[in-house]
Amino acid sequence: MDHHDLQFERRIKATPAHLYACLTDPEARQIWGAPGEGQVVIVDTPTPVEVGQRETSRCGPADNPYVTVHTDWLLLSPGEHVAYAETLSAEGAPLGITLANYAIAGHPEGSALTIHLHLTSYVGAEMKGEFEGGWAHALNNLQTLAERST
Amino acid sequence: MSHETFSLTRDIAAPTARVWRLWSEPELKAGWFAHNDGSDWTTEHYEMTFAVGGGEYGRWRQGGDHPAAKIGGLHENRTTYLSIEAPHRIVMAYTMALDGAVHSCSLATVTLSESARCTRLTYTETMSPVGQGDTPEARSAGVDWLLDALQKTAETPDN
Repeated sequence: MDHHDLQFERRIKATPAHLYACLTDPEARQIWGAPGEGQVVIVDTPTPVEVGQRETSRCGPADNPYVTVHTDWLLLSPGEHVAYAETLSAEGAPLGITLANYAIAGHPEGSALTIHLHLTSYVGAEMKGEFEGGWAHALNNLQTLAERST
Repeated sequence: MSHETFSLTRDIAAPTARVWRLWSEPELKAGWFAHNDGSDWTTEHYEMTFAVGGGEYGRWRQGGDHPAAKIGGLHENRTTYLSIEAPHRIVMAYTMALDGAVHSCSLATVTLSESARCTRLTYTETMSPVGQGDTPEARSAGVDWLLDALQKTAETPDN
């Protein structure tokens, strides 16, 4: 198993409360969560966004979202913190597990968002590059969505 | 928040199957994990469902000093099992809370490998402090304490 850490920071022109809503609402995550152009995220089993709940979604090319994602909510602190674990698999084969931590702070322009990601890869080190690019793309989408809808 | 990773190992003089049972069977795990703290700790609740997507929840009240965390109060541990590959690997995510406030989120992997004489246990955890309430050093000390208890239990006959 390979382990990788990543960190992203964004200044977003939206209130912490609105940013928190974008991070947790299933419909919003379907809009911003896709890891690239032509990719989709489809939440198959929307569940209450509560600690201990497990959500299942699919991710990948729009015509074949072949990656299954189980999201386990770990920490939900409105306007301040969100943490979850994501378990990714394809056709039953494990790809990786991610611990995602979002810290939200007020900022003169709106919100300062810091994201720490820890990836445990089952498929080798090459997953890191794809993973990093996918997250950067999704977070750009998140910023656009949060600032447009605030 | 930031991420810190630590790793601990134990060479346990017991078969892998036995060590696995101590992790996976609720009554056996409770013995070394939930009811094996110092005299100033009281276990208020412990439950466990060992399955992917299942979890574990424990609640302890601490009255005084402890080598792992010298903070009195109500401690809560909430774990979700993410991957289980019997009898060699468990991946889990968990949070720790003190008096209702989560102070860390972690992703932990336990691996067991068998040699002729023992079971090598490797525990690797990436933890992310939330606020000022926890540190990798304190968490590592706490896990170290638990692994000592696990090893002692595994190496004691007829447990």
